[in-house]
Amino acid sequence: MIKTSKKTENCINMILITFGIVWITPICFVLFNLFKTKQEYNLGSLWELPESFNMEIISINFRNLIANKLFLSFGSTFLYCSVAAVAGVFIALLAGYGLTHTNIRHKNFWFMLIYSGTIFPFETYLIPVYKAYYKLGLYNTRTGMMLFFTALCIPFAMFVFRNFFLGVDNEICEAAKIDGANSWQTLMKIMFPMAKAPLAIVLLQQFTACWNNLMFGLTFTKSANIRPVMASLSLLGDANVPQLFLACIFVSLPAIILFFLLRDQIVVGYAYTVK
Amino acid sequence: MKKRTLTALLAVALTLCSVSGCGNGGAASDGQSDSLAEDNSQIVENVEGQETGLQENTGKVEFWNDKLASTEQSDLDKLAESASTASGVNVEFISYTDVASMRTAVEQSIHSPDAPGLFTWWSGVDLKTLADAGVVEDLTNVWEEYIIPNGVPENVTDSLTFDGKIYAAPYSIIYSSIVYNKDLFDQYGLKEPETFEEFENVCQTLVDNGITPLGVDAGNGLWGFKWFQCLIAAYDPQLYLDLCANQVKYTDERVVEVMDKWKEMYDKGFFSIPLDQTDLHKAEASGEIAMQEMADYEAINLCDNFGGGNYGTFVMPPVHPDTKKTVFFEIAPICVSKNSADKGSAIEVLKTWYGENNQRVFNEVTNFSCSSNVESDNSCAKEMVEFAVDSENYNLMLRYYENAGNVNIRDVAIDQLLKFELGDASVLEILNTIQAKADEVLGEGYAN
Amino acid sequence: MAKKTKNNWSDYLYIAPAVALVVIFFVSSIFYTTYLSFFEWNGIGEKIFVGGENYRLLCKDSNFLVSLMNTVIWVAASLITSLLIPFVLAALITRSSGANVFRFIFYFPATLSGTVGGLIISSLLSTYGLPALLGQILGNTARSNWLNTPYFNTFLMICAGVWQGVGLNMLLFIAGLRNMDISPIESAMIDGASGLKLYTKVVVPLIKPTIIVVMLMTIVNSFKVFDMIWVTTKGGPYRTSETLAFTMYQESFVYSQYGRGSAVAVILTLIILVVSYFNVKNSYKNV
Repeated sequence: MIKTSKKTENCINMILITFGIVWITPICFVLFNLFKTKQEYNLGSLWELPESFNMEIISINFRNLIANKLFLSFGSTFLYCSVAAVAGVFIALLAGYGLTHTNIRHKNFWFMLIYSGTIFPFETYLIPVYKAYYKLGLYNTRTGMMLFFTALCIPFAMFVFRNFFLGVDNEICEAAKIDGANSWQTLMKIMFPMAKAPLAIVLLQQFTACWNNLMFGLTFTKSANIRPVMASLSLLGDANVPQLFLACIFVSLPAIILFFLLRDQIVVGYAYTVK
Repeated sequence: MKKRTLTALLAVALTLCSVSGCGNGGAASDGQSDSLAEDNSQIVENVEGQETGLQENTGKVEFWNDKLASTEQSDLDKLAESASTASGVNVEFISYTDVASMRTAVEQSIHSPDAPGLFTWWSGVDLKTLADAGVVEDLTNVWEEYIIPNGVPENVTDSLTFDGKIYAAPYSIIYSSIVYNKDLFDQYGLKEPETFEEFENVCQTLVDNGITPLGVDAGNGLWGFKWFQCLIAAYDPQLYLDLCANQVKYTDERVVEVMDKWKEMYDKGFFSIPLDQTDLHKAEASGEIAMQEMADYEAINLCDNFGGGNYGTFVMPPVHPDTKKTVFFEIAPICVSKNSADKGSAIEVLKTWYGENNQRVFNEVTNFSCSSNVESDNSCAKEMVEFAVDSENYNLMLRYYENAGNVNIRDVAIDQLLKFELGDASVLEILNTIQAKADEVLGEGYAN
Repeated sequence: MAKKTKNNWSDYLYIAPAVALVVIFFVSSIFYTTYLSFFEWNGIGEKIFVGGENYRLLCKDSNFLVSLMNTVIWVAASLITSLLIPFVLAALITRSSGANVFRFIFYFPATLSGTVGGLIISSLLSTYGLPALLGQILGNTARSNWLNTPYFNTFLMICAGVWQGVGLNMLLFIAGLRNMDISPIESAMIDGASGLKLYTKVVVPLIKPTIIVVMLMTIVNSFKVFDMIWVTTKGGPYRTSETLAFTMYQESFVYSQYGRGSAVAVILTLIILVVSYFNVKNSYKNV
C-alpha cells in the first residue's frame, strides 16, 4: 500500500470521522425513534429526542412484529437469497472465466448478451415472467423464487468477474497448462482463490439486493409462508413508524451479519502478487 | 469445423429463445396464450351451463387487495373470521403493497380459473376496462337484494355502473368535508360558518392572528383538485357536474370567476403551501393551520394518532344561500372475477359482507364504512356520513378524480391545478392549458 | 490468446448456464416488451395493433421530454456522486488507521431496505425535516416544501441518494486499490509524486478496470432510477421530476397504457444499450 505519514494519516482520519458522523446520524435518529410511541413520532420530527428511553415500547413493538408474522418467512427468504446468491455468483464466475481465459469466439457478443440482463428496466419482467411461471406451475413456489433471483444475480456478478479476470495475466493460465492442468483445474485451483475479494463483494451485494427486493416477491407469490420477508415488511405500512424502524433493523440483520463474515475477504489481495 | 460449431451454437441459442418465448408468452406465441385463456373461460362457462345457473360454492375464496397494509395481523384475522362465519365460506386475504404487483397479478390471471374470487380495484376507467372485457361479474342482483337493504346508500352506484349493470360492490365509501381544529376556533371565538361570507370571515380572522386557515394537500401529486371541486360546487353544484361531464369548457367565464376568487383567497393568505398529508396533520394538530379538506379515514387518523386534540367538521357553505351544500365521496370497488373457480363462494361472501356485524368489524379494523347501519366512533367521520345521507340539505357528489369524463383531461387538470397552488402559474395560464388538452381530446367544437 | 486455432466445445459450457438464464428470463422479456410497444393494450382486453403510434405520440409529449431531460441530469450528476465520492472515500479509507470501522459505517446504509432508507430520506427532506431545522437556525418560521420545487427536487434526490448509494462502489474501489500493482506507485513516489497528483496520474490508470465496472453500473443504475423518486416525490409536482424508468412505470401500471409504457421501456433500453456498448468498446481497446 501507499505509505502514509503519521500527520497525513491523522488528517485523513479527521476527514473520515467528519463524514462518518454525517453518515451515521440518520441511523442514530432511527435508533432514538425506536423509543417513541406512534403519537410522539407523528407530532415531532425525526430528530427530536424521545421523552424517555423506555425499553417497554421496544418490547411491545417487538411482540407486535411477531404477532404480525414478520418472521414467518424469514427462513424461506434466507433460502431464496442464499441459494440465489451462491448459485448466481458461481454461474457468473464460470461465465466471467469463460469470457476471458478460454477459446470462446465472439466473446464481446456473449458478454453484451449476459450484461444486457442489467440494463432492462425491472418492471418489464413482471408480465412475461408471471405468465410463464403461471403456465409452468412455478407461480407461488420456492423453486420459482430461487430461479428468478439466481438469474437476477448473474449479469452484474459476471461483469465484475470478467473485469477481474481480464486483469489477471494470461501467463498464469499458460503456466498452469504447461503443468498439466486443464482449464477447469486452472479455474478452481488458481483463479478461484485469487478472486476472493470480488467474490466476497459480489456475494454480499447480490444477497442484499435479493433480500431487499419487494416487487418480484410480491408479484410471483401469494402465500404468506412463501412470500419473502420484504413483502411482510411492506405490509406493516408507515402507520407506526417506530415499529417499522424496529422491523427494518431486524430485517437488515442478515445482510449486516454477512458483511461481518466477509469483511476480511473484501479487502484480501491477489494470491499471486505475493508469490 | 469452426463454422459448424457456431451454427450448432446458434441453433441451441435459438431453441432456448423460442422455448423461453413460448414459456413467457413472448412475441411469437402471444396469440396462442390468449386463445388458451379464452379456452379456459369457455370451460368455466360450460360448467356453469350444465348447472343451469347454479354457481358452485367451493367453500373458500381469496380476497386480493391493496388496501390492508398497516393493518395488524390480529385485526386481519378478526375480519377474516367475521366474514367467514357470516358467509360459511373460508375467506383468505392476500395483500399487495405495490401497484405494479397488484395489477400484474390480477390482470394476468383474470382469464383463468385461478383468478381471485374477490379483489379490490380502482373505480373509473380501470373498472370500465374490466367491465368491457367481460371478466367481472354483474352484481346488480346482489346490490338489490343484499347491499342496499343493509344500509349502503343507493345513489353511489352510478360510478360502478356500465350499460345499466353494476359491476362492483363497495369496499369503502369515503366522504370528505372540512375538518377544523376546534381548540383554535374556540380560542378566537369562531363558529362553523353557515354562509360563504362567514367562511371568508373565519379565514380572515385566523390570518389576522397569524394562523394559516386552510391546508393544501400535495400528497402523491394527486390532490390538486380538492379545493377546486369544493369552490366550484360552492358557487354552483351544477357547474361542477357539467364541467366533469365536459358540458362546460374550462375557460367558461363561470369557471374563471371561481378561479379568480380562489386566487383572491390565495392572495389574502388563506391557503398553506402544498404539504404532504402527514405534515398537514402535524400542522393542524399543532395549530399552525386550522382547517383541511379531508376524507373520513384521514379525520380518524388525525384524531387518533396526532395527540388527541378536538376536531369538528363542516361542509363548505354555498355562495348562494338557496343552493345546497356539496359533500364529495369516493368509492373503492370490490369485484368478483367471472372466470374464478371460487366465483360462487365469492358471491356468498358479498351477500353477507354488508351485514351489520361484519361491517362493524370492518369499520373497527379499517376505519372505513359503507353502511349507515354502522356508526363510526369518531365524531368527524360520523358527522360526514350524516351529511351524506341528509339529501335535504346536502348534495352528494363523486369527487373530481373519478367523476371527470375524460382521464386525459383530468390528469392534465390535476397537474395544472397543483401548479396553480404552488404559485407557478396564473389562473388563465392553467385554464388555457387544460382547455387546450380538452380541445385536443374532444375536438374544438365541444360544449357549445 | 496464443492458441486460438483449437476451438474447444467444452469452453462454451462455462457461459452456457449464464446465457441460458439471462436469455430465458430477461432477453425474452424485452422481446415481449418490444412487441407490446406496437400495440395499444390495457392489460386485459384485446391488443390493438397501432404500429409506431406509441413512439410518435411520445415524441410529442412534453412530459416525456421532461422525463428524458431529468434522466440525463440523473446520469450526469450520478457520475460525479457515485464515482467520485466513493473513490475519494476508498482512497482515504485505505490510508486511514480505522479502515474496518469506516468501511462499515459507509457501507451500512446500503444494507437497509429501500423502504426504510426512503422513509428516512423523505422525512429528512419533508417540510418538518431539514427545511424546518434550517429555518429554526436562520430564524425563519415560514414553512417551505423543497420536494415541491420543480427541478430543485431532482438535485435533492440525487444528493440524498448518495447516502445509501456509495457503499457498494466504495467496496469495489477499496478492493481495486488493495489489489493494484504497487511497483509503479513506489517508483512514482521516488520520483517525488505525491498527494493529488499521485492519484490522478498513477493510481487512476492502475485501477481502470474497477473504474469501468463502477462507471458502467452507475450509468445503468441512474438510467433506471425509480425507487428514490417513488418514495420522495412520486414524480411530482406536476410530473416534473419523472425519469424514463418512472414514466414507464407510471404509464404502464398507473395509467394502464402498457403499449406506451413499453415504448418508453424500449427507448430507455436502447439508450442504455448504445451508451454501454460504446463504453465497453472504448474502455477495452487498450486492455
